[in-house]
Amino acid sequence: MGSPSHGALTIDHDIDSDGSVRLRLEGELDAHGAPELETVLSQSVATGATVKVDLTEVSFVDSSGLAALLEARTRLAAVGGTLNIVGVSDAAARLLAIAGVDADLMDPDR
Amino acid sequence: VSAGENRPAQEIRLVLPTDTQHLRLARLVAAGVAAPAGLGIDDVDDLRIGVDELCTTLVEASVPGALTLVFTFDDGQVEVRGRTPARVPLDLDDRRLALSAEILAVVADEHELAADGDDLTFRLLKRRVEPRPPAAH
Repeated sequence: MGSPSHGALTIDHDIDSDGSVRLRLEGELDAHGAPELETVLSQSVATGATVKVDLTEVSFVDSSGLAALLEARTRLAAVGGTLNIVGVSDAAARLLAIAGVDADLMDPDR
Repeated sequence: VSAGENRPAQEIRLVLPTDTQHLRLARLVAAGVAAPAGLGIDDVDDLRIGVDELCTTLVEASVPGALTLVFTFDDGQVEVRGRTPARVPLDLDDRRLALSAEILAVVADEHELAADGDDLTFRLLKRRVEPRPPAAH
């Protein structure tokens, strides 16, 4: 668990050595930030990528953010890609558990 | 923002543009009223989450205008009421709404969404979790 950052959402985008896309989110993933995440994820969906999402620096998550992640995961699966969360803050972990989607989204090898 | 003077119940009224960029302010006020109501840290988080979820639904459903929130709090509980003029027909994101319902079932003691004429409204109640009494011997 890291120390999450408060404020507007920012998204860092990297390519790992194995070719997977790593998105590092920072700030608050709410209905205001979710559209930006959807835009970034849609680029990965177009290429059928393996996407790793790091929520360690996210201080707040709501249903808008979870819906964006689940939608991208569904669309990626349809084109042979994957999406997994590889790191969470306490706030993100709690929301994932409350919404009952932690098993769907968390990387089992994390 | 205006604060009432009647104790023990106090009221704060917040009027925001129906824009998602202001959801953070609604969460901040929720956290602000939770402390004088005596809610614990976990309850404050629950209240912030619940207010965010219900405000998000109202903003998603609204026509451009105002989201009015009324926070009423006294020792041990916070009630939040929200209201905004709604679009007809409502065209909400079903996936997000289903997730929101799961979340609200956990974080709120009571909550409801309702249509009232041309408005969509919500009510949320969060009570302080009382510490367990010592076990009898």
